[in-house]
Amino acid sequence: MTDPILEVDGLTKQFALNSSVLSRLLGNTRTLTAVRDVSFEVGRGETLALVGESGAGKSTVGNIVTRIHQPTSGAVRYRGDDIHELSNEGLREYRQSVQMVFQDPYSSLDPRYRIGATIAEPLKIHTDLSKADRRERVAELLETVNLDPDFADRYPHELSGGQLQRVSIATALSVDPEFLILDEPVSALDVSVQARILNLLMQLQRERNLSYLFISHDLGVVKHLSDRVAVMYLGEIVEQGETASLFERPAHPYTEGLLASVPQANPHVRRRGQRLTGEIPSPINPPSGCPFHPRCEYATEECESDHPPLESVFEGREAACHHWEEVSAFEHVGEMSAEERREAN
Amino acid sequence: MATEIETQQTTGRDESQLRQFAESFLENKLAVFGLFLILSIGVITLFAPQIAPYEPRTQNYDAILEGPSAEHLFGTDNLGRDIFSRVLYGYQTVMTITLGGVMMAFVLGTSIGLTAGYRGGWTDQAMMRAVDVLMAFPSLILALALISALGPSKWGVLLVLGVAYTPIFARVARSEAVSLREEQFVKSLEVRGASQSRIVFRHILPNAVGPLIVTITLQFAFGILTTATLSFLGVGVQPPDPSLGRMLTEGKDYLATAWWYSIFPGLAIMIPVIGFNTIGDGLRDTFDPRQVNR
Repeated sequence: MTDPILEVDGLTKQFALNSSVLSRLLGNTRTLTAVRDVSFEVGRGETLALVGESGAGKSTVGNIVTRIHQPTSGAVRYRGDDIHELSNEGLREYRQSVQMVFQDPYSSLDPRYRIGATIAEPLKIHTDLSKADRRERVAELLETVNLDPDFADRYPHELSGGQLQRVSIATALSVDPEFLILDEPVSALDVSVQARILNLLMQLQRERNLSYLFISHDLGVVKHLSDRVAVMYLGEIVEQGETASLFERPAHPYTEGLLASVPQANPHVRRRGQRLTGEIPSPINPPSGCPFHPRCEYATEECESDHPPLESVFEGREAACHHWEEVSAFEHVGEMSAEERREAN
Repeated sequence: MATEIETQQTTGRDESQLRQFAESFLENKLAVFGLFLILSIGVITLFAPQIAPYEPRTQNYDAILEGPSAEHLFGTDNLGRDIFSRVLYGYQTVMTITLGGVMMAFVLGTSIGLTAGYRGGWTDQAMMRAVDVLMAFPSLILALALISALGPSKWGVLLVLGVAYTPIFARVARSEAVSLREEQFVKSLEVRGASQSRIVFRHILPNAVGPLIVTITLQFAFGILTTATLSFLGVGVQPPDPSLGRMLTEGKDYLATAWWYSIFPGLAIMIPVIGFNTIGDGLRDTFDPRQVNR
């Protein structure tokens, strides 16, 4: 990997539950560990996808990277500097260099601001461009995201979800950031619109050498766009590796289950391995040993008592599973044989 | 070409939103009646010097306690002053005081409430507990205390209204800020490095404006009543400035013989209060159609 632009090191975030004064005095605060010892790196111009079911802690990681939350322990370093120990000037630069696109396009724009004013706002905060220059820049940005410059005079309620998400992207790009955090940027959109937004994101990345942290629950989306994938389960990264290799040969049963649940356009492509069953356990009261063992068909006694560490299992892959050899032994994608096809029909 | 057409369509939709708001408000007959009352009183207040047939302070001992006639529309008082003219000038006094007081409360209360609601945590606790203390204090007692400290005057009453109504604006603004704070567009502004004052006053305030306007109209009605009450008790506007509340209290001594002395000022107080209340209710229904129960 090229030199990393973002390093996340041993990040842990705990939220206190029933934190009333009384329960704090009595000492019975319970905590919810949303993120546990998460480490990853994102290189320049690279896309790292953070994948998992809802409740896996992906968005909490995103919120810590954007400083909405403070981590309980661990550090986030951007271009080598800990983002929670920045000077005022450093923080201002960070706010300019790192931008975020949110999941819900309908609520991520101020409903009382015209599109042009929304896009121009980061310019007001971070630059001293004149009003005319800002208007010119807004028109350019709208064209960059393939919208007509006339859209600058409209209000958010007049636009469709896909158009709004383009506006969000234009707003994020207005101050020439280097790093974008994309928190489920397409999951609220129609499938046909999703593809166009994803293509736009990939094109922008090529043109501007942007780095992406792409948070998603949809492996199908991730496959197209990311260079590497980190799979999260109950606040921990359980597997991490190159996208293509990870899709071909998952080494963690949870990844395998996620892959098996991606809908296939071609009915003759066969997938092996378990499908996910049951619910993600409560992070307030996580299972003993390997957090995935209650839902895992590879689970043995060892898994109930021993928490497997995330370690390098083979070239370019880290996984946290006692049985990774068994899991990764399958060839996961392949055409069905003629006989199987008849059976399936 | 296609985009041109789209632009026209959407501009049309934008206009119709405003029109929809107006139509929905105008459908409420009671609110329209209130609006009519307030507009008329507004005109009367502004043009009081032109409309009033007599100078309100001029005494005429040849026409003491005369009943309503063509010459004196509302009759005259115990010093022979024209009650109609005094009511018109009384409006000027009460409207100035109420406008000033409510605006003061709006600025103070909204700033406190939005800041407390947006920041949350101990700032919120400290600010809102202070507001609660103020709210728990009966406003009339507060008024009497303040005025006895400052001495009775127009400005004292204005200050009393400003202080006494601050908690109401603070609470409304806070509740709006608390819910808007969780909106994604506020989060995204934070991530983009927008300052707290930019977020609070340029983004949260415009989105909270509906409930605040409703509060302004309703507080206006209370403001008129409180101003009149303080004058009635003799701690408000001082003579010889005409004041509706003091006319009531002076007139009550002559109730048996000169009913017009207090009835007309009383009606004059009632009409704008009814007007502001119905406008406030109408606006609330228009801003938040979910709460309408017809």
